[in-house]
Amino acid sequence: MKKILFLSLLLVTALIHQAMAQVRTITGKVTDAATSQPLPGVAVIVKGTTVGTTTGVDGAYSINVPQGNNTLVYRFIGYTTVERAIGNANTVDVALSTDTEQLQEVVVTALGVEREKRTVTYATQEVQAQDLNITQNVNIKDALAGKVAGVQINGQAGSKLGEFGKIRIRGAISLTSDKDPLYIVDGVPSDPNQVDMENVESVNVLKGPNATSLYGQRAEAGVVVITTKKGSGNISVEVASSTTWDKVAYLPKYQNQYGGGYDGEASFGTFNYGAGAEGEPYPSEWQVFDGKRYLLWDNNYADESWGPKFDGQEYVPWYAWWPGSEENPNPYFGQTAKYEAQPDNIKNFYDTGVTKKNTISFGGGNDKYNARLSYTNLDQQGITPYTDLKRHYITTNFGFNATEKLRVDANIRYTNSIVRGDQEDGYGNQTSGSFNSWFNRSVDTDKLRELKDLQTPGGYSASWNWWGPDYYTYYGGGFQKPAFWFNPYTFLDRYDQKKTRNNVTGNLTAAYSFNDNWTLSASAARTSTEYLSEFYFPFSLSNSAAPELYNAWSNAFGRTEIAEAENNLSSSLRYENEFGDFDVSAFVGGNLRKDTRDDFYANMSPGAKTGGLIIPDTYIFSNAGITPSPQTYLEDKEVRSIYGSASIGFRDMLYVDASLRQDWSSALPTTKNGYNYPGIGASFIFTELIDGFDALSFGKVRAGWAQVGSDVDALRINPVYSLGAQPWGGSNLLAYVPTLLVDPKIRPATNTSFEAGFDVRFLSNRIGGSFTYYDETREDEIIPVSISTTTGYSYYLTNAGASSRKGVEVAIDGDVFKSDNGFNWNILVNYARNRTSVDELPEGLDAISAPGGSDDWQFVSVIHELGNNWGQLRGIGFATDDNGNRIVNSNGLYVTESNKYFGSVLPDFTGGVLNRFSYKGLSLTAAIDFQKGGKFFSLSEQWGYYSGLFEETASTNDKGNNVRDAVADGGGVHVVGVSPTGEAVDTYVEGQSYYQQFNANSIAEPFIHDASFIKLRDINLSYDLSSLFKDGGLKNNVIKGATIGVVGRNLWLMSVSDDNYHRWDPSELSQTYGENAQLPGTKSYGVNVRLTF
Amino acid sequence: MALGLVLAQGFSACETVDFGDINENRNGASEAYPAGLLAGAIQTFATQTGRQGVLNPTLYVQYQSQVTYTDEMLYAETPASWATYYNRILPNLTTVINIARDEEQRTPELAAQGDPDNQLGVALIFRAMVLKRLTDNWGDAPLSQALLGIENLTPAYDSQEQIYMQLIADLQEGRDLIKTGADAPVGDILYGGDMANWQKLANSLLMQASLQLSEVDAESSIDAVGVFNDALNHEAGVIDEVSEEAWFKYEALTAYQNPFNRNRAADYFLADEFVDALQGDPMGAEGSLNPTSNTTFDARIYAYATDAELEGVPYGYNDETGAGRAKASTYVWSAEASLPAMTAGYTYLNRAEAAQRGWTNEVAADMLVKGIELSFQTWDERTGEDIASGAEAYAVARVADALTAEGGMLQVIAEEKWKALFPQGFDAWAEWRRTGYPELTPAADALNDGAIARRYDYPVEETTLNNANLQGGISGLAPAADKNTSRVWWDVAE
Repeated sequence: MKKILFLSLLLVTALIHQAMAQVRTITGKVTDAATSQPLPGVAVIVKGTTVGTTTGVDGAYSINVPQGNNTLVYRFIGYTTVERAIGNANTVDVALSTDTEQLQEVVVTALGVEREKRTVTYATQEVQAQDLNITQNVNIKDALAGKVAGVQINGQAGSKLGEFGKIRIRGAISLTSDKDPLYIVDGVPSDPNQVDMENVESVNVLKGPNATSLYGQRAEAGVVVITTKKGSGNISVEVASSTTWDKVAYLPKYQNQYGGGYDGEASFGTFNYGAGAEGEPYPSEWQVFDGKRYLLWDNNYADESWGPKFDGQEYVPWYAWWPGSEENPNPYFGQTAKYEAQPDNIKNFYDTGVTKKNTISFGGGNDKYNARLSYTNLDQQGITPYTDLKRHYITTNFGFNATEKLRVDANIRYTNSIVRGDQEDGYGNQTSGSFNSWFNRSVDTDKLRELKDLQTPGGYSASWNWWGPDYYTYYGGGFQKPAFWFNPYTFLDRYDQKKTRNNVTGNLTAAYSFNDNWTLSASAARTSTEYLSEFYFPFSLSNSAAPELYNAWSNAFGRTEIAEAENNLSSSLRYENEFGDFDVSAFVGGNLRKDTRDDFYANMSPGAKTGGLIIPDTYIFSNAGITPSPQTYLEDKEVRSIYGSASIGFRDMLYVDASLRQDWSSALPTTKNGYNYPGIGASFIFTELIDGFDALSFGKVRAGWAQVGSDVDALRINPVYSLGAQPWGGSNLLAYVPTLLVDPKIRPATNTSFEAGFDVRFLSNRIGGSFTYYDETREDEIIPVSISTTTGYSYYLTNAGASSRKGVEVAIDGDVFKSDNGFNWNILVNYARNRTSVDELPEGLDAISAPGGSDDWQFVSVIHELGNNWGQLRGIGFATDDNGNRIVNSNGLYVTESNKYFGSVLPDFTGGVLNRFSYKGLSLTAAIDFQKGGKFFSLSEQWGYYSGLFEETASTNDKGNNVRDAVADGGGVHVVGVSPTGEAVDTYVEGQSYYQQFNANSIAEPFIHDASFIKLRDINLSYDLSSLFKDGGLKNNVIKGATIGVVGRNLWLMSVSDDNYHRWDPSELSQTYGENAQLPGTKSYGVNVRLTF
Repeated sequence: MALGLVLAQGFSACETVDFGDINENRNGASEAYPAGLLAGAIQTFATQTGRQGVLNPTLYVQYQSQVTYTDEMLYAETPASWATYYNRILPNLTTVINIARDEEQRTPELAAQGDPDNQLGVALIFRAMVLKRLTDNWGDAPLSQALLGIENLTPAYDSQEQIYMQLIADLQEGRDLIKTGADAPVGDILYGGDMANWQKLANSLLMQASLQLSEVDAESSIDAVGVFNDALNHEAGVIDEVSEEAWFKYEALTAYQNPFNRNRAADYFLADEFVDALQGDPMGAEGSLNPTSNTTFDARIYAYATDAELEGVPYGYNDETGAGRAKASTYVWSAEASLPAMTAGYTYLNRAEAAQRGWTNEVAADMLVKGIELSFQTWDERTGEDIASGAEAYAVARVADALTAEGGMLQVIAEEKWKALFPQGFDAWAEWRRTGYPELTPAADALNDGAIARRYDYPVEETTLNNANLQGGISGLAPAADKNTSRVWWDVAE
């Protein structure tokens, strides 16, 4: 304390001394160069001294300049710092131009602490609104693609409305989790899917423990800190409107030579009306088909394309058999069609998705308050017919300086969204799950669409995939029914599915500044989601189903309600001061978090063979043939935390940080549920010591060490006896022992990270670079270790296993061309390389299951192999001899090898290039991102082979004949290898046998591909018309500014690996292991307009 | 305020904070409820479904043929999971047994769920039925070191002989524990609390299990003949009336349905071998695939088939079609139809075989006739098909067949077991492996080396999680290889 007094005294003395020196007064006004609006709060400093002031609300300033000083420095966050010689002037007006690149900018770090970027001791990379929202994206994750080194997007095809996949930061490290990072919006943990991109000001990605240590147990996957726009300046109104069109653009390559059937040419027969079926005459209206060509027996219901070759001759198509009803007659009844390929039947099936997004926002602020209110309406029509998403966002931000010392902030965000229609995106779904897996290349999409309401005489829904005329005497009229598949248009139109989500997030913060040094703040935050999912499977479809055969559906409905909330109460005490050469800032704080989850659901099973609704389509549970039991799921969790951090800076050049967090979690064993997470770091701005070397304008080295942990989920360590869906016989409860054994001493896993790097800028900050190296280990992984089921249990939850990751991240940005009012070209390049290895597994195991699971047919699983890279694809592959030759059986089919490892799903490196061009008001932004390495599996390809749909199954062999031609006729697939006894094999295998062997023997290897890609993800061309409104022909008092733009998304998948023959977009795989018959990718085009009033 | 609270708490107790019961799991029962565990075990065993759970053995014994998707019929070598046995059925029953055996846990609450001795008895008897199925399917399997959780993460395999010894002892103990006058266990969803029938079931199971050892009796330390006679002559009696039979009951709810119903019926037809045997097409006659010595029309076809006139699908071809062929009756595939666990007919057929083998002094032909008649009778009652009247004539013809059949009386008895056990494939499969009857021909398009599957391959996880002990289990097979053509201990007949 004495020391502080002494220092204060010194400071006062110095100030008095300065005041006594001779001075002159300079006045002036600081404005924004772009808008000419006054800039309040700009620091004006006499260069080389501590004399300074700030501008007022009107941007004006007045400063007393000591004699001998002739330069003023104008410094303001977000703007380029300007130095001005005073000369003889008494008035100096300055216009500052914005500079998002400059290092003086403030970044929001862990727990919302704002810091000058230059002082931060770890890698930090912030993305500003204009770079995030290049194409009016509706989600934050895609928006980050390629813009932050080390961030990989595992996107989801945009066709799945309202779902956006996840991002990975620095690959992955946890052996048991591959989850999305923690998203914090204005200090509140939030659902990133509910964030209105229109309101995002900036995003800062906190990558490793060094940056996230203050989040303790929640930070294992990294943290994405999102800051929303705040109101400032005079009240203004902004209207933004965009429309985007999505077209299906990425489909596999289909064969267009053979149609539906199992038996090649023999699939066709000639209809003999007179013969009838099994002694029963055919209906009289079928007389017209006598002598016509049609698909025999099961070839009619074949949902594969091993049928006859297209010849353009007449045949009876699926729809011609049905006259239709009086109200809905079939114009094609009795007519044959040409038997020919339908090359674009799948592409044409999908609609053009249309997304309309409209936002209006009001904002303003002065030294008393700031406020912003915004409303966004999103209306998205999906590419899958009869699907749409409607969403409303209301976002408010208020700040109020109640007194000079007390500031209150309140933010509330409300989102309501309703998704309608079929969103199934995996194997067996009615669109891609059929088209790429079980379909006929001969199906004409226009007829499917046109005849979606066509009924058979029995009142069933007519389908391309029906049992067929030869089954006329079977199944009691059920021969008219769909065998496996409805007409997809009928299905999608009639199956009503609706998902409603309401999300409210709010926080209230009060901060009281006792003086310049001490600030106490307290906040309460809550985010809550109410989710309701409903489905209604109608009688018109279930009546056409065949529960006793293949296609089981029942008239059913159900609803699921989930209510989730997270509440946080926190407070902190901050201290900031300067002592001579030292800057000190520190804080201590505490947080109380309470999570609750409450599920309630009652669902009839639409796949059940019995128990559907008794009165058709009366969706009341008491009308259910089998009343479903209502189910509940409840959980609560509480975490209490205290934390503190201190940073000491020396002469604006050396900074040392230390932080510590302690978390106590209710989900951990009561014997010990508290753990702490320390972190230390340092940065050294060496350019402060270098003078006269102008080329290097800034240079910093930094290093740090930190830990984070991972909690367990609520209830995880307390398994219970599960109970049967409902009592047996109405009264006998069924109970089952738990199958999870829990280690009573379970403790959190710990990540320990060392990180070091440097940041440099050259040529007056024109070019900059950042390099980071990290080395992180994770120990005490909480693994549900698979154990022999003969123990009575299937998993043992315990701490076992370790992993580590090492990598580098590089970010370079620079102004390639820069001129004051001419052409500008700025480029940002990111690159990150990561390797995660599996260092330790539970004793005795050389592999365990990894997060990511298996495809629906278990061809591949994601597995951690001891000593190898994280997350290997494993499955059945080709057996090979020592020379790598494939071993071939006597029948020419491949010998298989089980449990073969095909490589990690994680890429070797990722990155992006962001180009921004501008010329006067015109600007062009293009975001490219890329990835090298990583593996994925395609289930569609497997079925596409099996069902004869994909191009390879009708390719030309090296003799110039189709592989489907008989081997005896020069057809077949050429197979070269060795026999099991080592003799060379060179033979031809019948096409169908060859392409179906992979399914028969569950061989995954041909469908594993390298996930490398280069992609032009986003492009935006916009024109700022503001000058026209300000000074030009459109000058007026209402509209202050306007921008119009055209955008494109996913326009060009520039390059993929050669073995990715079907060009699956590796950046839009819905599953960790790859592709599970998912919806197709799209290209999007859009226009947007933005007006400021 | 929150800060102060948290800080104070933080520094007073660094290691741990008391959160009260916030982590209490309200999504299930935290204590064992034996009545529910017993019912859960019976229901789980009864509803095991899918190919490995119910269909495969009906293929192996040629009750049914597959069309369109045929891998299982062609003996594709696929590991079979036993997780349902070890994670659901056996732990449930073992928990019931352990609680009932523990004097301290014999509380009024437990007694309210039925007399603890009756709970124990019923759980022991039912567990023995489960263990027989388990070891018959796979061979050696963990038992004495199994189900101990953390105490033994890698249980050793007990030999099949040890497992039979245990299950026989359990059946005897369970039977003797039961007190017919005391309260029945709540949760008995098999017999609805009829304790006398549980004792009869135990005796019928003892006869079935001991007879299963007929070919290894000589080397075994188990006195199979003694066990059989003890059961046959036990004062509680054996199942000898239809009303005493054990049938699994099903309910409309999908999870509780007849396990056949939950499969895709369109892929399954009756095997023509089985149909011809029922229709009595003479073996070797043109178009007849009948693998039995029977030449008499068997009226049970009305209960077993959708149509008594139609042929079945010849077994073992990958390209057969089901058009115009008979399927297993709608009774078998219907959601709520009961399925047999142990019948009077089967018990009499076991008595017939024991008599023929000289294990007892009963008259084999009389027992055979009785067994056939009771089989007709039970299916008559189950399905409402009026077939019982034809039983006597058929039975007489079969007794006569024993005179001409190459394998004599034992052949006819085994063939009749095959017919009587339909559609319960597991027991039929075990009987066929032991007796060699009926004389089944392997699938022509077999995917293995051309022999009918004689066991399930061990679960794939055992290789990675308990391999050393698994190898011990494999060494109990003949040959000692984990293949579906290897034989289990009792499977030694030519």
